[in-house]
Amino acid sequence: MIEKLVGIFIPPACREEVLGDLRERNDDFQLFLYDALRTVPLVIVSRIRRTTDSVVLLMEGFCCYVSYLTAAWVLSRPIIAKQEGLLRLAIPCAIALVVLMLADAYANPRKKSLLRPVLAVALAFAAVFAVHLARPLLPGVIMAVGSGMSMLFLVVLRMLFPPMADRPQQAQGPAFWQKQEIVAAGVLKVTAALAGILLIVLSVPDRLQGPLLGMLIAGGAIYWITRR
Amino acid sequence: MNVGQFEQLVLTAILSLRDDAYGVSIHSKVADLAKPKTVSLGAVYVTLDRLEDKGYLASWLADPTPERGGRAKRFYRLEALGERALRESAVTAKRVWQEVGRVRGWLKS
Repeated sequence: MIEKLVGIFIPPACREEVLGDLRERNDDFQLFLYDALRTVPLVIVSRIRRTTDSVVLLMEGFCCYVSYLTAAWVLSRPIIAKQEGLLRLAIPCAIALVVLMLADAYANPRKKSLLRPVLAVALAFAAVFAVHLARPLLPGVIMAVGSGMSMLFLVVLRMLFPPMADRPQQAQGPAFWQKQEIVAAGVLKVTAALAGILLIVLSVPDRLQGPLLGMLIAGGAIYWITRR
Repeated sequence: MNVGQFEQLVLTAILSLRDDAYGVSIHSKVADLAKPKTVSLGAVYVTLDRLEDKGYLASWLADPTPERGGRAKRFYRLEALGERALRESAVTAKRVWQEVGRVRGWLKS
């Protein structure tokens, strides 16, 4: 019973061996549970790292954010001018991306499906709307139009760059060679970091914007100099 | 071709276990090598995944066994790239040890 329960949390790609190892190490129920609590979170994180291509994730995040921003720009511009307007637009994107990452990590590589890109995106936006129903994130019309555009972009992106579990793997090549990360990760990561900093700076009250921006620039400069 | 200290331990464990390198046996060997530090099973899985992604290891699922509740073992094998990385890191470690010994005079005693 407890083994089945623990098995639900372990990604299917490594469920068999992890459960077997935990069972072999622990005869006692309590020790099994204790060992599982220490092991399973790391297994999940490792699986997420393996199945997530940071460059594709950044592209997805960018497309998603631009969709909501465009919807807000066209339908209700005052929301962008508000203090946390730009940051609020990022909340549904963040939820969708987290669900997409988890959907990729929990995808079963033994079961190939052509519909997986569409299903993962549908699941992500179902989660976004579930959160929206519990606590409204954005005005309804922006939410609907932004989500629609995002879904369209994400499905196309996922067809162009399928999740790692669905990509055909060459026989003797390291798995990370298939990621887009090795192409231009540096430039994209710096762009994402700058965009994130700008988003945070624009969301704090005006009197704090100057000092915060100054601190971030100084921090960045110190990091850059010490790194060299 | 860089491997960290924990990666070295995992690669060494797999090398010494030969045909019996799977999660539990690798963890117990790494725990032996890392004494007095304690090592969690999760950390071993994370490192195994990373090394496999780098192409240093290959893995395959064996047949299920009754003592594991009918669950299969995932066995690991060192690839040529992994052996090369381990050899390079061992040579570096040896050079460091010789230098320390030369400076401190440990090698004379």
